[in-house]
Amino acid sequence: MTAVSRFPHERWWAYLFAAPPILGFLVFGLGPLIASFVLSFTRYDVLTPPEPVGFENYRRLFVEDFFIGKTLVNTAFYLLGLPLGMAVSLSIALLLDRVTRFRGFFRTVYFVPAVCSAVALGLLWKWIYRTDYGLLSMALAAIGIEDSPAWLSEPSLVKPSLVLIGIWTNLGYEVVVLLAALKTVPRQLLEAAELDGASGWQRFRHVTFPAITPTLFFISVTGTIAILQSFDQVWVMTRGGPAFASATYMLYIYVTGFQYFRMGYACAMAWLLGLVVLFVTWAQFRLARFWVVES
Amino acid sequence: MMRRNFVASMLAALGGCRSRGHGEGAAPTERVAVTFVGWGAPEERVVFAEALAELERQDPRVHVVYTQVPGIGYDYLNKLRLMIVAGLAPDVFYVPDGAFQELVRGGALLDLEPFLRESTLDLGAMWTTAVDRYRFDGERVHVGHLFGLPKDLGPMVLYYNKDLLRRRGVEAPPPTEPLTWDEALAMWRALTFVDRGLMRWGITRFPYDAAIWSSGGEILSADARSWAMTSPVSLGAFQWCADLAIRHRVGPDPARLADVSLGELFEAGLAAMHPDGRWMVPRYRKLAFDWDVALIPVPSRGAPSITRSGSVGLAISARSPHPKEAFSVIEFLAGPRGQAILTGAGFQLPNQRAVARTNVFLQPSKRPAHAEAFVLAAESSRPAATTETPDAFWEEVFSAYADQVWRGERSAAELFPEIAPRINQTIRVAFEEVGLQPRGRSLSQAGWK
Repeated sequence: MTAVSRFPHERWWAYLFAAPPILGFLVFGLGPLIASFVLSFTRYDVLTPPEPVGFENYRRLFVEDFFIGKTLVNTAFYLLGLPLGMAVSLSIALLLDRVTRFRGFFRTVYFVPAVCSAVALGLLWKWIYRTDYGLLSMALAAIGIEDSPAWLSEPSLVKPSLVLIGIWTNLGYEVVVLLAALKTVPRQLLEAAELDGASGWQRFRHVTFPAITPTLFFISVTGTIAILQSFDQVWVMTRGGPAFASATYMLYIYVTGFQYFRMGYACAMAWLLGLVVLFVTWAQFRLARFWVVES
Repeated sequence: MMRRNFVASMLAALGGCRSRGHGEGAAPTERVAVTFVGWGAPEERVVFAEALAELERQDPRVHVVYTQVPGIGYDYLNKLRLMIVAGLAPDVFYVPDGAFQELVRGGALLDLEPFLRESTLDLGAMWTTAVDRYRFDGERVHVGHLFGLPKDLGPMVLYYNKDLLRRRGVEAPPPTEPLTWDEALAMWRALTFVDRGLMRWGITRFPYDAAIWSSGGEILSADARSWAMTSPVSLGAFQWCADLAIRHRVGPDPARLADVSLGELFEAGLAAMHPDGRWMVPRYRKLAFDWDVALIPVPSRGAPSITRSGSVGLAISARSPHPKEAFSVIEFLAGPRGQAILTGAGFQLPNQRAVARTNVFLQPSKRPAHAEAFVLAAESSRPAATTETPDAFWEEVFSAYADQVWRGERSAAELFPEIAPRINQTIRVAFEEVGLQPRGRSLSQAGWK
């Protein structure tokens, strides 16, 4: 009571401080969200006013458009990189956790890709993957493999090649987050397990891993959402080719909306993606109870 | 109101292209600022400055504010589209023939017929194919009223490395008569060899549309509503193009090209021949080796060499407050004098047939020695098939699948009938998107699984 009387305008200050993010969300989040939902029921080429078409865009999306399935399957393939990347990151984090000298140096080295722009990394890897004088081809040639595969222009190789880049790009971020999680593992439990004669694997399996499952869950949820929306590196490196073998769903939305200006249809596609993200995230939360250990 | 004007001027400053006195109606004695947006190389700025200065001397009412936008293709079109939607469209702008349909259907272009009736501009002096690609009758393109004037025409010809031909003892192709496919293949075989560990190829890649058209086949049906590449003639012609690399081994393996452009192979002297348009001439003039141009080969003696030609149109915004002055700009640039100046930089074949036969275009002291090949190619050239449909997505779909034929994984005869329902559906959707009734069948109706 005293506080209210001493600061009569406090409530208004609170609203003022909260206003920027709220306004930001209304103007740049909610506004476009509503607009895109309305536009998803129209035919809109930007030049001429939107023309209502009812559920036609959604009908085409679910019934006719063969690229929807193809790009969703491609995107799902990229999800394979997530558990692989997490396993690699966890292994590196466990090793780094034991390193006592140059720990900062190693952390920096692993974190560098995370601070580089996705486009710059895409261009870098494009050069590495070149068949004629790419770093990878030259390395293969040095060990006697002259006929290097066409990493980015061979339909069967392009997706795994891109998955590898995804793993490498996210490695630094995941390693740093997992290192922080490893620091939270209760030392007394590890010591007790050691005294009880538990092996290294048993200590990891029964003490360390359960303790870091909330962090692993966090990485898996944010990683899944990021992969479902992946666009930049694929666009820079392959533009979805060859033969749409690497095209992600997000890339298809971009081409539809900003190259061919089928904005209404692109909005419908974006809403489908939103629902897919929502469902996958919901499923992840439901499954979490089977493996995530609450502290 | 003042605030609105401020916002508009800020946007104009950002876009750099808003006309002075926009929407205010200039007094008769005032010079009218006509805004003009296009893309191009730095050298083109110079010839445009010269042409526009001459126009301003001829017509003192007009002052042209010319802006060269960096980037072509979708970059340019995105910017133009946003300017149009924002109400800041330049008075005059480039319209690539491939984007003419979407812009004219979107109501962005001014009908030029009323101005042409009072103009002295002789459309008959221009290549018919160049003029007709800017026509629209309310439903179909290439017929009806003119909504743009051609700035140029760019037919495909065969560039060849003369030094390499001399070195291999191969006779240069005749300048005015196309080689037959058999003759060309023999030539490319002689030009394909390993040189100090480097593979040198006879040709980069043969343009499949030229192969199909010259064989009597088609890419699209007459009404452009369906894909026609499943006919035996079209299939055979496409397969012949692909076989050059995968069977005859006279072209580079597409699977191993990665992102090396075909033009780069020619420029590096790794391919003896390369089909391309006139716009490459200024760049190729800087090459260290001697080169020339010839007509694109034909299936048999006497067959016409029909190639694809590109073109850029000069159009007026449907909302231009100065349509009369804007027309005076495009009338000059598309007319004989404007074309003579613009042709000087070497980038373009003029839209004017007569100018194309003078030394202004032929430039005998410079490469290529046989520039008349461009003139001959223009006579029988056609616009790209994509200009006949509301957008080019179907072509992107086709190209993505056609890779399998280029790479030799499947034959055209095997693949094309299989992908035809997908391409036809993509074409149908493109027409539906612009509000035209579908005439094709859906994939489910066609039995596509």
